[in-house]
Amino acid sequence: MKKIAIILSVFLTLSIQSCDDFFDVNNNPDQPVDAPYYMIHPRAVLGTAAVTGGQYAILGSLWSEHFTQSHVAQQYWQWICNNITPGLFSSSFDRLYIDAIKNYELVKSKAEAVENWKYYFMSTVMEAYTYQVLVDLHDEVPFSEAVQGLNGLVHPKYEKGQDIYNELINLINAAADKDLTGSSNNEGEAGTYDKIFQGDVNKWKQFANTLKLRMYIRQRYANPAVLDDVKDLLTENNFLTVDAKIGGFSNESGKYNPLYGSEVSSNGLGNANIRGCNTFLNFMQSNNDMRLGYIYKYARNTTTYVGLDYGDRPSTSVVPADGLSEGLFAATDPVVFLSVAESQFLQAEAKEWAGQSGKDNYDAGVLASFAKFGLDGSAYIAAGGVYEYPSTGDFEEKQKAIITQKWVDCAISNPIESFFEFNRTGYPDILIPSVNSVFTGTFPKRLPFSQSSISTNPNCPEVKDIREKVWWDKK
Amino acid sequence: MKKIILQMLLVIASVGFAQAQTRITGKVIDVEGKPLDVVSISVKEVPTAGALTDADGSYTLNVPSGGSTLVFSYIGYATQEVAIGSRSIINITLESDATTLETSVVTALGIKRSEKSTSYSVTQIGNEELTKAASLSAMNALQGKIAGVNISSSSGAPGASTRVVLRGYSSITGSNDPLYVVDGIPVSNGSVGTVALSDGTDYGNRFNDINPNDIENISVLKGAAASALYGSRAANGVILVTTKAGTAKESLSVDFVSNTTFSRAGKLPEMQNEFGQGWNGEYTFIENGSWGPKLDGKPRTWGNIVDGQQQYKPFSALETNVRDFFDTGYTFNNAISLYGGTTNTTYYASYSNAYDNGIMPGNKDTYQRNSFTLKGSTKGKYFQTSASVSYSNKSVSTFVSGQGESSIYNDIMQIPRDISIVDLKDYKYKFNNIDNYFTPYGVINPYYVIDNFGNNLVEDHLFGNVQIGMDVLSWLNITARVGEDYSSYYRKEWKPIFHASTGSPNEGNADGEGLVYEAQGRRSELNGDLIISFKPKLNDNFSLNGILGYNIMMQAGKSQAHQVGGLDLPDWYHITNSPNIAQVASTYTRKRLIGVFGQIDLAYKNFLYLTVSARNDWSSTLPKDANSFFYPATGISFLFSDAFPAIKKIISYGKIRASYGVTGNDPDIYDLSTNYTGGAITYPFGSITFPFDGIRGYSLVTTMGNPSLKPELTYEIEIGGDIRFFDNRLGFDISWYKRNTKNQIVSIDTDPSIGFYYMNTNLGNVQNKGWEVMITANPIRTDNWNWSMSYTFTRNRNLVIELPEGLTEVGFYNITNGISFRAKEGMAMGYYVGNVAEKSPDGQIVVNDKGIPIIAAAQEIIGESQGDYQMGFSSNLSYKGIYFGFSLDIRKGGQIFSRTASINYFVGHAPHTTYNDRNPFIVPNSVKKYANADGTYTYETNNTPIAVSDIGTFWDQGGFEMDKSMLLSKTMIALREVVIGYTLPAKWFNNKFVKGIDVSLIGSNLLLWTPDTNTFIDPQVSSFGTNILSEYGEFSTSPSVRKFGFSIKLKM
Repeated sequence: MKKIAIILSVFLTLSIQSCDDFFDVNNNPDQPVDAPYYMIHPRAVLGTAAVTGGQYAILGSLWSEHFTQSHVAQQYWQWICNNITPGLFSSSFDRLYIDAIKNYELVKSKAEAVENWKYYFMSTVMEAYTYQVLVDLHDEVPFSEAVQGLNGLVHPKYEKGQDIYNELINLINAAADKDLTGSSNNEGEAGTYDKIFQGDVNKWKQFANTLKLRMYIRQRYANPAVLDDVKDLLTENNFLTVDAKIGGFSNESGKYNPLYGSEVSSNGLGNANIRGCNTFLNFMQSNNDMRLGYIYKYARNTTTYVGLDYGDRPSTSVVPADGLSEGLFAATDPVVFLSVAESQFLQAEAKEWAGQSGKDNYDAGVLASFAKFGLDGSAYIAAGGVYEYPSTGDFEEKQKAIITQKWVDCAISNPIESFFEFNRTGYPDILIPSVNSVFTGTFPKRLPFSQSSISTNPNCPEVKDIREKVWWDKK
Repeated sequence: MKKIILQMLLVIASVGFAQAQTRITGKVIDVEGKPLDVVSISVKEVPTAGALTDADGSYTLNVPSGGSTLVFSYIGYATQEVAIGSRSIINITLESDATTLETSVVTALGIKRSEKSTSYSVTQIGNEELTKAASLSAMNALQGKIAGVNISSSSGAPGASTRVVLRGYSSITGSNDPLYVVDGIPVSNGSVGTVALSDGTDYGNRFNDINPNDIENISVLKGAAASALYGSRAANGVILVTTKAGTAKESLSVDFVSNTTFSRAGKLPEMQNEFGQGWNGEYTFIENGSWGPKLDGKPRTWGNIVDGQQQYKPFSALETNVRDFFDTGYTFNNAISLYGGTTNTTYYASYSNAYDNGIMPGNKDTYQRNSFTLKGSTKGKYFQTSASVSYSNKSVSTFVSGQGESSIYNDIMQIPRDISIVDLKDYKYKFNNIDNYFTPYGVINPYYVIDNFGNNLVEDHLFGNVQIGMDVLSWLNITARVGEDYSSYYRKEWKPIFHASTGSPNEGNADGEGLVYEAQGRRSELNGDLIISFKPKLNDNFSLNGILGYNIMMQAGKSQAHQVGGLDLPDWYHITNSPNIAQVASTYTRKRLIGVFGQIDLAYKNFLYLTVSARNDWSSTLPKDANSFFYPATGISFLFSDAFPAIKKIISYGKIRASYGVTGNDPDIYDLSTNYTGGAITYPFGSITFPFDGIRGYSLVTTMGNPSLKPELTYEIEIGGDIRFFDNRLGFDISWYKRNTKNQIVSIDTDPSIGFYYMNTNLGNVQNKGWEVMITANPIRTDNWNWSMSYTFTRNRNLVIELPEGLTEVGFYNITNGISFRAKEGMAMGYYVGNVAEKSPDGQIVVNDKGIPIIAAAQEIIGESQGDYQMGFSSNLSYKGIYFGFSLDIRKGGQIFSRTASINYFVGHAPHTTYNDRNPFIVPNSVKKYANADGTYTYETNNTPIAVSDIGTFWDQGGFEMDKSMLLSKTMIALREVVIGYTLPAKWFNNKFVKGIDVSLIGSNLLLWTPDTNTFIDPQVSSFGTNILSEYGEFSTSPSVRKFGFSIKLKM
C-alpha cells in the first residue's frame, strides 16, 4: 500500500511542478506577435484601395451613370433601383475600418515611437482620404472612438461629418509640420514599401495639399468660411502633378485590380453585369470624344457602341442579351485616389471661387485626362472646341464645365468621386433618375449605415433614407 | 502487500495439504432440453472455485472442502443454488426469466453500473440495432432511435459528415459536439474540409471511421451529471462506445458480415413543367433559366450556332430531367471478425472493407475505408491487463458544394426545363463544349466538371490503448491506462484550365486559370488515466463504490497547405505547374489538460442509491493565473419497485431519479491573444494576396483576443423516471431537464469600426430545457412470436437568457445582402433576419412603378431554426426465425435556409413561379407610395400589374414572401430503416462448421414526406459544418440518398 501511495504522490508532484511549462503552449506559433510599421502601411493602403477601387468604384460607376446594369443579369440591380438595404455595402464599411483605418493608426503609433515622421505623415494622409470617402457616403461615422477595441471601446459613438473633416485637416497639418527630412525618417525602406510615391516626401505634401483642397471645395456650400484656407493653398501652389494611385495589380487570381477581380474576372462575376449607359455614351458621342474608345468596347460583333438608358431593363427582343458595350476594365488598372486631372480641376474651381480665372488649370486638366490614354486633347479645348472653357460665362457655367470634365475623367479611374461631385453641384445635369428607381424623380444621396454596426452598436444612429442629403450637400 | 503474500502462501499451503476434494460433474440444460453453453458454476462458500459448461452443457468441478452449495448462473436465466449433499452428479435445468434480467449500463470512464443505480438518463444501443441496416456510419444508424439526440447527415455524398447534438445547442460559436469515447479513451471527431459559400467540401468526420460491426454497444450520456467525470470536453454530452471483445469461451468464433446496397437520389426539387428556356417571358437560347414561353412541344432550334449549324428539338418539358442525371450508386461493406478466449484471456481481431460509390454519374464520388482492429485481454489472480489497437484508412473523392461553376449541383439547377441534362454528357461534342455550351451565365457543363475538377482526401487513423489494473486488496483496485488517437491526412484539390476561344459565344464568360491545392496534416491526442476504485464492505444494508482518478491529456496538430492559381500545362495538376508563387500556410496547435476527479456511489439495500462526484481541471487554454475550474455533480435513484416488492406484479421495475450536475468547458486554443497576420485582404468575390508587387504586408488579425477569458460552466438539473409494467411488457422512461450554460466562450460579432470583426468574450446565459420520453412495448412475447415497439419523443426549448451588456444581438452568419442568422436575448438561438416587403402604415404591400414590391429598408426576423419536437418510432416483429422491423424519424417545426430554393426561384423552376400562369397580375392588397412636400407619404391603391418581363424579377426577390420563400420548414417524416430477414434455425447448425446464418433485405431512407411548402430538399442536409451554423441551412449541397440492398451474416 505504502509503495503505491509513494509512486502516486511522486507522479502527482512531478506533474504539478512542471505545471507552468506544461501549460505554456497557448501562444499561436503561426502568427507573428509584432510587425514593423513599414510592413503594416502597405497593407493598410491596399485595404483602402480594395474598397474605394472595388465596391465603391462599381457603385460610383453606376450612380455616376458612366455605366448601367445589364438587362439580362442582376447582381447590381438593387443598386440601380436605389433599393439599398444596410447589408448591401456593410462589408465595404467594415473593411475600411478593419483593413485600413485600424492599420493606419497602428503605423502612426509605432512610427511616432521612433520619430519616423515620414511614415506618420503618409499614414495620416491616407487615413484622412479613407475617412473622407466614408464621410461623403455616410454623413456620420465613428471617428475619435474608432479602432480602439483593444482599449475596451466596443461601442464607438458616431460623429458628424463636418467635425470629422475639420479634425482631419488639423491632423494633416500637424503631421506635415513635423520634421519629415531628419535622419529618424530613414528607416522603413519607403522606397520599397511605399507603393504610392516610393517615400517621396514632396509628392506626399502635394497629395496632402490637393486632398485638403478637395475637402475644402467639397464643403464650400456648407462652410463658405474655408475660402480663406483655399486661398492659402492657392498661394502655396504645391499641388499634385502626378496621380496619387496604387498599381502593381496583375492578371492572376489574388492580384487583380479589385473592381476587375470582383466584377470582370472569371473567378468573380465573369463580366456579366456592367454595361454601357446612354447618359455617358450620348455625351461622349455628341462631342466626338475620342476617350470613349478607351472606356467602352464596341457591342459584340459590331462597330458601334450600344448602351441602355440608366436603370432601364428592356426585353431581349428589343436589345439582344449580348448587344451592349462592355467597359474596358483591365486587371492591371491602378486604383486612383486623386488624379492629376482632378488636381487641376480642383484648382480651377478654387481659383474661380477666389475670384481668379480657372482656365489654365481647366485646360491642363482636360489635356491630362486625354493624355492618360495617349491622346491629344488640344482640339477640344481650343477656341470653338466642344470643351472650350466658358471664360465669359457666369460661375455656374464654369463650374458646370469643370465638373463635367471631371466626371468624364473619373470614368473607370475614380468613379466614386464623380458621384460625390454630382451630389454637391448637380453637374453634369444630364444624369437622369433611374428608370426603375423605387422612388421617383430624385437621386440617391448617401448609403445607409452598415448592418454590422446596426446590429452590434447601440450608438449607431437611426436608419436614414438614402435620399437624405449629407452635410455638405447644401447648394 | 505483505498480508497478501502471506495469504497466498497460506492458500498454497492449504492446497498442498489438500484434504479430500469432491469431484462433481453434470449437465446444464434449458426448459426445452437444449444444452446451455458457458454457464458459470461456482461454489458459494469458496468463491475461488469455479467452472464453465462447454458446448454440450457438461461441466466438471472440483469442490474444495468447506464447499456445500453450488451456484449456477447464466445471463438471461434465473440463478439457481443447489446443495451438493452427497451427490457427485448434479444436472440442472435453468429457466429463463425476463424479469430478473438486471442489465448493466456503461457509464462515465467505462464504469459499469447496474441500471438501477444510475441517477440520470442513459440510453444504450447494442450491436444488432447498429448494424441492422448496414449503415457505414454508427451514428447514422441511430437516427430517430434515442430521445434527446438529434442526428443528421450533411448530405448523401459518400463519406459525408454526421452531425450529432444532445439536448439542444448550448454553444453559440463553439463546438456542440459531444465527446466520443472508445473503450475509455477519447477519440477525435474532427473533420477535414472547407465550409464556404463556394467550393465547400466535406470529407467526413473521424468518428465515422469506426466500423459499426466492431461496436458492442453505444451508451449515450446526455446530461451534465452523466458526463461530469469526463471534464471539459463532455459539456455537450458523451457518446461512449464499447467495442467487442472476445468472450470467455474455449473455442474460436468467426463472424462474417457482407452487405450490398444500392443508392438512388432521395428528394430532389420539384420543378414546373409549363415554361421553358428564356428570360423575361421570351425565348432566348442562351439563358440558364426557364422564364421563357409556354412549352408547346413544337420543334425549335436551341443552343448556339456553331459552324453555321444549330440543333433543334421539341420545346417540351423533361419532367424527370434532374433525377435522370443521377446514377444508381452502390455500397459494399464486408467485415470479418475472429474472437474467443479462455477463462482468463480474450482476444478479438477484425477487418472490414467498405466502398461507397455515390449517385453522381461516373466513379468520382467515392468513399473507401479499410479498418483493422486487434484486441486482447488477460487476467491473473490480482492483475488485469488489456490492449487494443485500431487502424483505419479512408480515401474520399468528392465534389464541391456552393455557388460558382465548380459546384455541379449549382450547374444542374440552372438548366432549363426543356434541355436534356443527360444529353450534355459528351462535353467534347462541339455543341456541348466550353466554347459553345448553351449558356454563358456563370455555369458550365456539369459533365465537364465531373471529369476535370477533383477533390481527394486520404486519411490514416490509428487509435488504441493499453490498460493494466491491479487488485491491491479485495476491495481496492488501481488501474492505469494510456490511450492514443492519431490521424494523418493528405488532401489534394484541383481545377482545370479552360477558356472559351475568341469569337466563340462564351468568350469572356467561361474561363478558368486552373488551380492546385495540396495539404497535409496530422493530429494526435494522448490520454493517461490513473484510477483507484474501492468497494469497501460496509454492512448488510449499505454498500459503497468509489473512485478517485487523475487524467492527463495532450493534444497536438500540425498542418501545411499550398495553393497555386494559374496553371501552365493542361491536365497536369501539380503544385509546380505555374509561374506564380504558391500561397503557403502552416499551422501548429497544442493543448494540454490535467484533471483530478472522484465519485462515490452509496447504495442502501439495493433500492436507494446516492452518487456524488467532482472534478477539477487545469487547462492550457485559460489565462495562466486562472487556469483551474471545478465542477461537482450529485444524484439519487430510488427503485420503488424493489422497495415495495408487492407491486412487482404490476410495476415490474419502477425507478425515480434526480440529479444535478455541473460541467465546465475551457476556451479554444489561442483565444487569449491578438496577433498579426500576413494574410489576404478580401473583397466580394475576390482577394488581394501577399506577397503583392514584391512585398509582404501585415495587419492585426480580425478577431480580438481576450486575456481574461473564464471557463464556461453548464448547470443542469434532471428529473426522471423509468417505470415498466406487466413483466416489462410496457415501459416508460421519462426525463425532464433544464440546463443553463453560463459564461459561454464565444467569438461574437463586433461593430467593425472598432477594428475587429469578432471578439472573444464570456457571454451571458443560454438555456436548454425539455422533455425526453421513451415508451417501449412488447405486446406479443411467446415462444414463436415476438413483437416489440419503441417510441421516442424529444422537445427541447432553447432560450438566450442573457447576452453581455450592450450587445443586442450576436450574429453567426451574415451573407452580404442575404439572410443572416442570429441570436438575441429572449429568443431561441438561431433565428433568421432577411428582406421583407415594405408596408404602408395599414399593412399593405408597397410596390414600385412596375408593380413589384419594394424591399423594406430595415430587415426583419423572418424565421426560426428551432424545431418544435422530434419523434422516433420503431417496430420489430419476429416469428420463429423470420423478422421484420422498421423505424421512422419524425421532426416537426423549425426552418432552414435553402440556396436550392433560392436558385430555383431565380431561374424560374420553382413550382410557385407559375402563379397566374405567368400572366401579368397585380399584387393583392398593394399600394404605391408618393412623397409629399412636407416629408410625409401618401399611399394609393396600386393598379399596375407586373408585366410579363418583370415577373422574373418579382420571383427572384422571393415573390410575395420575399426572403421567407428561401426558408423551408424542417418538418418531415422519414422511413429511416426497413429490415426483413430470416435467421436460419439454430438446430440446423449443431456441431457444424457454420454456427448460424442470417440473411436480410435492408433499406434506408426509403420514404420522405415533407409539407407542401417544401418542394425542394431533404431538410436534414447542410453545407455549414457540424455546429450551430450548420442549422443555418444548405448552400447547394448534394441531395440525400435512399438505399436498399441485402445483408448476410455468418457465424462460424
